[in-house]
Amino acid sequence: MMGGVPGALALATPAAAAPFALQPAGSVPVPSEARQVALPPAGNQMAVLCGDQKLRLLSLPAGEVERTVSGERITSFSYSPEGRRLAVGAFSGTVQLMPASGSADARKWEAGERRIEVLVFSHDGKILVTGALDRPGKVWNVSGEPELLGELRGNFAGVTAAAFSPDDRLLVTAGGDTVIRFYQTDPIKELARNQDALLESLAVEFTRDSRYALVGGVDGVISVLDAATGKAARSLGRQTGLVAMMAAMPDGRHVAAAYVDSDDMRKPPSIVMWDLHAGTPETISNTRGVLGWGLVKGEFWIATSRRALAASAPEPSRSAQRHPSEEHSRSLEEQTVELWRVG
Amino acid sequence: MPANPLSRRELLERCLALGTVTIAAPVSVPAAATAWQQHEKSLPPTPFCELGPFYKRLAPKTGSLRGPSDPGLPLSVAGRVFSVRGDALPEAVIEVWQADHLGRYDNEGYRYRARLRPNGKGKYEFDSVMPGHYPARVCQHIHYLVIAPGHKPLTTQLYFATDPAFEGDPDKNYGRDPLITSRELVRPVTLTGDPQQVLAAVHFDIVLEKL
Repeated sequence: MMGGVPGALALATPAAAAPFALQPAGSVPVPSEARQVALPPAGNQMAVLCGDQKLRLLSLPAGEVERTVSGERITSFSYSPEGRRLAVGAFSGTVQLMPASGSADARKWEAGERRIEVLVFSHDGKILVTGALDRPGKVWNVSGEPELLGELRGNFAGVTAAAFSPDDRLLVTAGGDTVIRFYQTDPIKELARNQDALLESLAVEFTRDSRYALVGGVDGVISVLDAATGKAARSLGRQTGLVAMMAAMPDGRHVAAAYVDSDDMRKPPSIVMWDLHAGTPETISNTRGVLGWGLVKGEFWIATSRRALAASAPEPSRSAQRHPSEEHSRSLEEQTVELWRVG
Repeated sequence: MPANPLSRRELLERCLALGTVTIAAPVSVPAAATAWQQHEKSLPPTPFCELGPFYKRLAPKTGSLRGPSDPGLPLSVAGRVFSVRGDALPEAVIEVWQADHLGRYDNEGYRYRARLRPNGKGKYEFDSVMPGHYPARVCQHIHYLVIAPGHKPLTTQLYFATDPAFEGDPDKNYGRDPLITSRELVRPVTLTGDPQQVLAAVHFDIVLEKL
């Protein structure tokens, strides 16, 4: 079942000639340890969740703090596709939708009873999927005042990942119950499901023609599912580690996947660029913890911590004694976000 | 259900008037009503704790997770599954999964994973080993998924009062693991056996909420 994705891509796209590599695109100091980063498509800003539980919106490339969001324990955040809004999910189950620039008030509402783990916008920015821990996700119209469009299904756990098809007509979700579900978006209605997986899926993405969904998870395999039937069409070769993130490249031909060591998630993830046409992987050398990634100015950018991580040995415990100078150096590294262009 | 259901006190008073209940002295109607109401709410539901990424479907139906030569501290876990009203739920299905003594999950197979059915009194038990510390977590834990007809599915985690992370004081230190939602999930550990073969035992009751 391995190989390229059948008929899923623009076959006229020429094959990539040069190997993929991380090219430096800048570094930005942040006031506290950076834990998670989101990047808007314009590349004029980045959102950084820091160790002090504050979410800071920093201008790029200057790195000046434009806005600080605090008060609630933030658990997820995502820019809208046009980059003008930021959705912020909290431990309490609330979601805020705020302008990415300026100081205008956020719209805030209860999207769940538990912490918000998943926030995914449709490509036109009008629909937002919210996934709360242990509860089926919800779908909201966010073109005006947030309006509930429908609830997603789940047997016993929450949504772990969601993605809209490029034409926004379909939605695919992965659940903690290991089920992959396909929905139409207008109105929200389940169309198909796949229950083949024994382990949880953690990342989903659509192919450019909206015909297939790519699904990756704990088993380290990326499955290609037919969006109309939910059935597996084929799979990409298994890699070491669990698939934690996936992103379709603008060329429509490649998809990036981050593989995390399931025995120790603190190790640097392996980043693999899959050629969907040929079904072949290309590993991108990486020694740092990935904080986030996204399409910026039509290119694929990755945000990492400056601190290099040991690939072969586990990190020392945070409670372990370290020399003060080592501690200081480590803090400075953790307080710097490095940006990389993948090309 | 009537539109305005009677309070327990009103119901008792009506039953007394109609002779359908007798309250033996010295119990008063208000005291009986209060006791009745408290009994109905006597069992708080087991606190939720997140599923985690390593749940795996179709675990084997077995109470023996520990092999005869498995390294690690032998562990025996037992408890009962109740509704919040205290009724045993023998129809429940309990799935448990945990890391081995070194803190590693078996995602290839089903080591330290099982599906259990309580007996007619709601009792369940399984033999395993004390899980090690998973590197990205603070505390040792065992995952539970409990599903019973007519009740809300429960995902939770069992923790151990002997965990070094608590430094002997789980009351004070259970919050060191940000995923521990309640002190109730940290259970006392009983060590039995002789110095050559110590066995750890933990009791963990599960209480499910009605749908």
